[in-house]
Amino acid sequence: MTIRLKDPLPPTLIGMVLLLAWEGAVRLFEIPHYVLPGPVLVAKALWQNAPLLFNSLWVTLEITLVALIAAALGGAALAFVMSRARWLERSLLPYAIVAQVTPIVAIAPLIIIWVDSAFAALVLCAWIVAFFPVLANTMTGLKSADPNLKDLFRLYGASRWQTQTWLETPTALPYFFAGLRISGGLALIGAVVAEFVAGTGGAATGLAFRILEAGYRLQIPKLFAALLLLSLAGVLIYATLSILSSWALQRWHGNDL
Amino acid sequence: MTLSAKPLLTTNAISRVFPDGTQALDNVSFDIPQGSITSLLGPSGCGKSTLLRIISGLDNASAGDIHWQGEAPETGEIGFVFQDATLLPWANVWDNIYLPFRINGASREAAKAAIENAVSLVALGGFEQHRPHQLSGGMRMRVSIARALATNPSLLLMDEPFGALDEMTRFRLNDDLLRIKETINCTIIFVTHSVFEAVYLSDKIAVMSPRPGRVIAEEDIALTSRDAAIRSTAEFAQACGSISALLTESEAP
Repeated sequence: MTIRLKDPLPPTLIGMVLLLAWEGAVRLFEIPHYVLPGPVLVAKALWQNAPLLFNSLWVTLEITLVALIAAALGGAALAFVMSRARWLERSLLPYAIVAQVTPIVAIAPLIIIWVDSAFAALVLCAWIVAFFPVLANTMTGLKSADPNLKDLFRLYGASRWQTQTWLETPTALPYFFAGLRISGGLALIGAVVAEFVAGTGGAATGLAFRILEAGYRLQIPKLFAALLLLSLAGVLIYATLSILSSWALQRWHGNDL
Repeated sequence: MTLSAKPLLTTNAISRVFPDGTQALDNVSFDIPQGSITSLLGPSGCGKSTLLRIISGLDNASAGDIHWQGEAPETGEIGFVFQDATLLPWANVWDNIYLPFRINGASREAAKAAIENAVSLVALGGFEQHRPHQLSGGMRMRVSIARALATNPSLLLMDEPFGALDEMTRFRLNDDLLRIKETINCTIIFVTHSVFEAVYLSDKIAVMSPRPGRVIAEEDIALTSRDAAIRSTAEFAQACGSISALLTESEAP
């Protein structure tokens, strides 16, 4: 499902009202800024720490994007392999599920130990979290071809390869994109959680580390600023994937979906 | 038309029992005359579609076999029209009709003449670039028929093709099918549960009983003409009446 804002006015108004109420409450009840900073203070912190925070945002986004691309390619490829034969699906799927259901927080420290490069370790963590929706959805899609169309292909003596490329893959495409949209959010979560657990070893630090750091130093406005960027990154990823998917599906399917 | 003496195919005591134990067909034997339109007429669930699938090779009989006059058709020599149009939703009309050629490895250039001919047979000229969702149900069914005919099959199997359409569209497609039949050399097996449709279209009707399906009567239909006017004649009503009587008989316990 694509959520589109047809009229941006109502949510903008609500946002303004909430921000004003927040700022007003903080001032009225004299809440200390290390407990809850007002939006003005958060904006100021964002402005003052902009180079640092945006640098970290870029690191987090980089990890997320690499993991997401790997999840899209890996998940789809695995789905294809599994759809080739029942025995392949039966032997591989349990391990995909194990990888999916094991909490990433528990595996992340191991991965950090095993993988030398901090960047690669974080990408791997984010990938483990993100690949399953693409895999599961693409597999469902590959199996969703109209049985009558399958019969038609059989009737004309189509090869396995022909049926897969001309019937099953186009059928699976909308399912793949639906999975990808879920994976986009999960990849970001995976990247952040892994960094929370593991840190990045100092070299390049992502937003998760900035949040931890700001928390330890009681720089709560900066923490909020980092949090804000993280939310924006999530929204940005979701929006980008939504646009990408409706563009691709428009080309393939027209507006019949 | 006069039915030629030689049947294109004869089903020989065909039975079909599904793995769950359901007996769909029981000892079905009948002839399909060469060049005819033969209807399989019977109530829902009587195994008409199963029989069609067995003739097409999509399903196998549990017992019995099919005798072909001459050689059995090879892959791609049988056209099949499903109850739904069964089109690729992402492909336009031209590409949908091209599909059988494409599977067979023919280039677009090589298939062009046959596709253009099929498009004009079903009167869809000008709609080649339309996607299925841009067409009405009747037009989608025409595309489906064009796809089945484009490869010039010797046998065309139609599985309740007009069952899901409104009556006006259905009448028009009935007439179109008869018109198309005049210009092609093809035997048609037409599955329907409509007595009127079967009588209007068919040279011969095989009446089937409720499950397990058996052929309880093979009736030749010889109407003096086949056009919209005949539907309101006594001759047509009489033919429908006698077929209906056979159906009712078959349902009596």
